[in-house]
Amino acid sequence: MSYVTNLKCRECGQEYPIKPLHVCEDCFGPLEVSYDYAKIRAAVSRAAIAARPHNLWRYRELLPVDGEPEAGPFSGFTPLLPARRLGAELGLKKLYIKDDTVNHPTLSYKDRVVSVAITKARDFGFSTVSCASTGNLATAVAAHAARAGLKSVIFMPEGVEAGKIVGSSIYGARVITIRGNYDDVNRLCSEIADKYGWGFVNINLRPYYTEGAKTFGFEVAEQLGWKLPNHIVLPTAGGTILPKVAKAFKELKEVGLVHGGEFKIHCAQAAGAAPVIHALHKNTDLITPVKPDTIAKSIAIGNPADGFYVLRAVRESGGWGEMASDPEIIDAIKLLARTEGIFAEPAGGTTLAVTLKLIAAGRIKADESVVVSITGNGYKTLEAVANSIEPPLVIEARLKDFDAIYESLGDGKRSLKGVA
Amino acid sequence: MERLRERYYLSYPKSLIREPLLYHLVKKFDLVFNIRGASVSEEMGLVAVEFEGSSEQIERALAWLRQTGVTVEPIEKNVIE
Repeated sequence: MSYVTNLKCRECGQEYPIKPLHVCEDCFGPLEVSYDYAKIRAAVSRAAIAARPHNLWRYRELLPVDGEPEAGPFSGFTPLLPARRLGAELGLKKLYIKDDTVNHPTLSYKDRVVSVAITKARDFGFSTVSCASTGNLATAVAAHAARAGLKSVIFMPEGVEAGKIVGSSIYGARVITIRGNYDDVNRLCSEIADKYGWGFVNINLRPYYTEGAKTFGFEVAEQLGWKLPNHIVLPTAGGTILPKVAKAFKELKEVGLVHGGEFKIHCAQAAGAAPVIHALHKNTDLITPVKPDTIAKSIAIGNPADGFYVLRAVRESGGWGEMASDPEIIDAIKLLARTEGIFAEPAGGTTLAVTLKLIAAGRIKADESVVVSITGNGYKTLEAVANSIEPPLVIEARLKDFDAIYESLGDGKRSLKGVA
Repeated sequence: MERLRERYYLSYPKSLIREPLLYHLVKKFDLVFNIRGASVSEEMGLVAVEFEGSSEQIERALAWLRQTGVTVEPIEKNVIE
């Protein structure tokens, strides 16, 4: 049974039926899914959710689906790790990492949004799904479409790394690279979505797709014992996840799964693609598009579709936002890997680097609970850090050659047992 | 000739805020336009507009706008993620 009522324009409130629509015909505002919260309140309980499988569908009453979802049976419910060693370095007592580097099956938060989009694509009867992407989204669409038995077509700007093409083609997706600059590609994809009857996950399925991002927030709350954190730091690219985590936290209160609790939500962007942070710092609602230039490719979006809603969610919560330079991002990736054994892609480095700035500015206090959101896996973006690691020591296969470098390896006294 | 309706966001930099660009657009390219939303600050102007005309008319109008310094984008903004 579905608890969805309709689609509603976020700007003018105009209502639309549950169909593959994404913008208001009147004002061009984005459409969002509405629910009957009173009915959901009567239907859900913490105990019922606890008894369900560990995937994102355990919160199905708050997602736009009917019946049994057919995508993402192992997606979501990623670890929320208490980060004690990193917390000690940062002077925080209650620091957690929400770790979507291990999301199934494509190792990023996109497995959440695409699970919902593919489920709706099947509901609406699409046989082909599509997206325009340079990375994580492409891989997620290709993989989830394969398992759901749908055809997928992925658009990429010409010149993307060969690995990105392999990462989608391997699942049977047809990859089309488009000549032209980023803006041309962007415009063409909007036109194709408008003209052909495909399910574009982040265009005509966008209202459903974005709802999947709420599960990141639902899980954080459940994993904290149905409590909200004092702070959550999230990366911003197109602006999907941050407002949806805010929506998730509000919904949990609305339906009685969480009682009270104020949270501050903070936005992290890479300095080379920070249009939302610039607007936040200038105290304006108007987001001036930028040309992205950063190693954090997965969040290099110059004109975020939902940037305005990021600003609104951050301001409403009393949160803040900062940007991190490429060197700061790399340092943060290394810090997280060194202290917690988690290898994040540059988006995760951005989030952690910004968290450090929020602590330094006194916006996050030592005894407050903090969740740092890591939305993608570093194994996919090795090139971003390849030149920043210590090169390996090279020795001949002789013990005396190892003896010569032994002292340089630091504290190894305990392993010296038996050596005269 | 087939007439199309296409929807765009136009962003004007500060230097163009005082220019009557849509007026020039209609005079030059004989386009029908319908403004659905607008916002102007000291920094920039943003207009949500629907153009109606032939494919060629719209293409030429968009090229002129870009040449003038206006950023023209689909209403979905960035869809490459």
